Amino acid sequence: MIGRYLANGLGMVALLTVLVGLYLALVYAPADTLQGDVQRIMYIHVPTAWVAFFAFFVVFVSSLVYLWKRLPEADRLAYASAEIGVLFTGLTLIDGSIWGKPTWGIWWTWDARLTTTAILFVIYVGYLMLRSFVDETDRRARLAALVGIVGFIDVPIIYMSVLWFRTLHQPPSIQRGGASMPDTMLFTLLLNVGAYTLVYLFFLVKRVRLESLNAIAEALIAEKAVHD
Amino acid sequence: MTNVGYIIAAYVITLGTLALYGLQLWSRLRAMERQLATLATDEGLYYGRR
Repeated sequence: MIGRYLANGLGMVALLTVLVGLYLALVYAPADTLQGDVQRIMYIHVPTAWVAFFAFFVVFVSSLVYLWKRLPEADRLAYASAEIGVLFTGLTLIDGSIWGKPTWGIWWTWDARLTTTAILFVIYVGYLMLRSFVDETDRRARLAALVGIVGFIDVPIIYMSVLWFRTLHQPPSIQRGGASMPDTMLFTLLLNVGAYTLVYLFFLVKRVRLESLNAIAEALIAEKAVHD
Repeated sequence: MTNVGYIIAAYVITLGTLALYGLQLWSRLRAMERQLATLATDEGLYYGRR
């Protein structure tokens, strides 16, 4: 019961932070000198991309833990995080496309950053499809863990793609040497990154609970079938 | 489409999709809790009969 209150509290904090982030992004932050107001799309594009990468990092780590310890909880965490990661990757591609049209003049191009992100989306849609194709629980978890680990290789490639290849996409907004933007923009961006990370954590808690309840239901059904 | 149109489209799609996913997740959780309650009742009846 306490867990449920904590999860709902997390949801409320996430919602509040998203609303504050929305105000900062649309009202408080100054317009970009080159791109004008359309640059405000950055305040959702970068956070959704960050959350997608983080979600797949969670898949990567939980998959390793599953293969090492064979914990069903680790498999459930990986599955939940992969589903949310796919959602955020899809949003990153859509936001990026909407931002690309007024700044580059095109909705889509087979540029290194865009293509590797599209590949990431396909890999994890494949991960979810694989899970629905395999019935046997342990085999499904093992195969999914392999895809979850190998698929994560694409994340650093996406990050480095703007540095390794000639691309239309701008370089990372925040790098080791500092940020290439004024403090007001940086604050707005970081707050939005925090807000969408909280949304991810809230979804993750709920999605993991759904998987745990599903496991209990499957066990009850199996037990009932044995007795019948 | 004007610049404002692109901004509105991006924000509405992102926030709308997240809200819909949240609602769908909540609905799946409610359905699963109901299914579990039914299964647990059936189980109780089964052991009660024995």
